[in-house]
Amino acid sequence: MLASNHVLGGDTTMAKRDNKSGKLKGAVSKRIQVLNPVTKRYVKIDTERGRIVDHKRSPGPYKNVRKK
Amino acid sequence: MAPSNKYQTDASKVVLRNIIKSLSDLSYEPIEGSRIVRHGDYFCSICQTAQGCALGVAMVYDGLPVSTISNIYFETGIMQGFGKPVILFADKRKNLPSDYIRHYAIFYNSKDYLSKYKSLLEDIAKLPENVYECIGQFAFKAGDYEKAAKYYQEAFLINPKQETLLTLESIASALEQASGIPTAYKQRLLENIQYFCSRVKK
Repeated sequence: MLASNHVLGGDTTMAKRDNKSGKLKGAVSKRIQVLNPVTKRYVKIDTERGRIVDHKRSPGPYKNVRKK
Repeated sequence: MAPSNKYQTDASKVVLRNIIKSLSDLSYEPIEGSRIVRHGDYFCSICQTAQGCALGVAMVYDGLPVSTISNIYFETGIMQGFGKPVILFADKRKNLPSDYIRHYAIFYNSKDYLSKYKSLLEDIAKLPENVYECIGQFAFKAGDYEKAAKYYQEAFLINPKQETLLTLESIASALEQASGIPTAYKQRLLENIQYFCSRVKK
């Protein structure tokens, strides 16, 4: 698991958790998501390397990831 | 990727005609797998043609010999490996490998198969703008010229825009000036981009 996280860019700056409400604050940096028109699923892209890092299995966008 | 004439049924001939017509309507130039000009090794010509295509369309149905079916799946696999979208026409669900069922399979026994096919083609036409150009742009910024060129080439094959070609040329010029890249690799990549640009301009 650790190895695969590393390969997929596990060193990404994560969204910060708000101390008071406990909710995530802000977006994950260096990542964006785009909608694949054929599969109708969102694809997560590493903007630093220009690579696809993940493909969503369920409908709807990723949380805390910027949309293009 | 359709079986040669001797294996075609009356129904499959009609479907094939409709497939070709829809592709022509969207300004694609259909190339039938069984009519690819054989130069040198036949498999090599299939690969070269597949690499230069925007997308693949394959058809399988009951009554085809096992060797033909395996050949069709082998070729669709190659196209998938090259990163091309492949649409698969089949007569029955049981004739399909599970990987295809979700997105790219169309059952031509249903009445609305042609409208499904056209909407899938429209979705594929959106791929360059929604996905390929976006990833290509980030790959270019990151200095991954090979990936950037690959995505822009795929985008151009599906939707031939002049802007995409200009971007490819700018990738080539940036690559020429880039330092720290092995010379042989750089040369191969440059030749690849220049060959692509020269061929599509014709």
